[in-house]
Amino acid sequence: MTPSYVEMKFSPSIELIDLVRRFIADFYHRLTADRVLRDRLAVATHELLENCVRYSTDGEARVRVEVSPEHRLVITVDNDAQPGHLDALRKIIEEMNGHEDGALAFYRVLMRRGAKDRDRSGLGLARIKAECDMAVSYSVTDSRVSVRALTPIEPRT
Amino acid sequence: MDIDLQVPASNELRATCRLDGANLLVTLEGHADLRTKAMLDGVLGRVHDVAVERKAPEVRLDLRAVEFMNSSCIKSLVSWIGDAQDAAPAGAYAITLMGSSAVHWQTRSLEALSGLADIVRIDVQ
Amino acid sequence: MTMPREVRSNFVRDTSAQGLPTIPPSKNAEGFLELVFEPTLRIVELTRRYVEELYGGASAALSVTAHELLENLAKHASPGEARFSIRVSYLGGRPIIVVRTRNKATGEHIENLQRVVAAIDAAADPKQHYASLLKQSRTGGDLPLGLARVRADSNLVLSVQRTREEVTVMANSR
Repeated sequence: MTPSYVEMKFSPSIELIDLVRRFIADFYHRLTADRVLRDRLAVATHELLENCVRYSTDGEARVRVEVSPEHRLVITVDNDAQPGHLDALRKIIEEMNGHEDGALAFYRVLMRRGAKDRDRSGLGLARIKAECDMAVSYSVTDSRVSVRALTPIEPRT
Repeated sequence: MDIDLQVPASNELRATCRLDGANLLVTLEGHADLRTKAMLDGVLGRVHDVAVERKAPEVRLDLRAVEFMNSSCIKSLVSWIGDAQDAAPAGAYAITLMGSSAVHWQTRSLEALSGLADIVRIDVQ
Repeated sequence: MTMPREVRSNFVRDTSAQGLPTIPPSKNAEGFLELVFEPTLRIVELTRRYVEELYGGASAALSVTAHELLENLAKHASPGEARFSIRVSYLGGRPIIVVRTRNKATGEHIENLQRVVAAIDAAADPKQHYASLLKQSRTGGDLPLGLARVRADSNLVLSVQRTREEVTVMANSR
């Protein structure tokens, strides 16, 4: 049977990023024979997980991967977040999704913008869009933020 | 001749550097992510210093054995490229990023980096 | 924008003779992992492997507990959503551990589980109870070795809760 979803909740820690990512990578392996797609999904998952761990307040983080009957795969990561981060997230996603020259151009804009700042990356979401070819969106409920990456998929039959 | 990178060893990411004629060849192997970003920054900082000191015309960074690199470490490469640009003209050197077409992140990430600066060239096989 | 918070390790290293996690140097070392999935054998096996990787080196008993509960889930769960979780917290320096599975199951299986756990609970000596079951298993039969092993090896208390068509099996510290 081809699985259609998996969900993990965990206390956000660096050690768990790699483990959660690999668990979900195995899930992707069950889901699709398309190796390039699996690699894209693995990169997107890792970036979302790292953002989650870095910017969440103490508490519970959740990652859910689900394939809809319409053959869309959605990776959702949610966590409690600091107010400053919610604002920054809104700005970056709005700027990214509104950038006229496309995802790769915006990715390079961010690279140049942050080149001198060694402490912050800020590239993760742009990378998901530019390199993984996934649509990125978010929603906020109270202090809990959900970030989603989405792509069409043909699951194994 | 091997160059001492003067960074603590890591199980997750390994780095070597040697002289290849007048050029530097840096080889990375493993995973570049949150756990190893500090090490990568140390390696790139040391490589930059050696390249400027020795007036190396080119630094080749072999990433083919890096299974995964997160965006923070891609950012480290960006910062290093910026340092190399700033070193011109006295300490100018070109950068070649070597990747494998069999590793997805390398084909896409190196493509993104190649458009950053004239001193950067990519070599994906 | 505020800087990302310092990310601390939340998982513990075990040095106790019992195989249960002990207090690490940092004061805040709690952690949990919960998975929600369709109970295919493959996903259950993956879960078991990752739990073993996460805890196996540190606590063989915790890994065994997760293994046995997951294996029961793989064998007996009815189709539908299944959940597995491990939670480690500290109270007055003492580790509090809860390992839990929840899944749909037949009424017959749930009743059987309740009998098995009641028998384990009633045994005066859990290790003796497990040894006795092992001996009996040599002559065949489907004996509830897994849960008896959990009680004997990890010293965690077992319980079973039924909610309509779902069963929750829990192994937790006293």
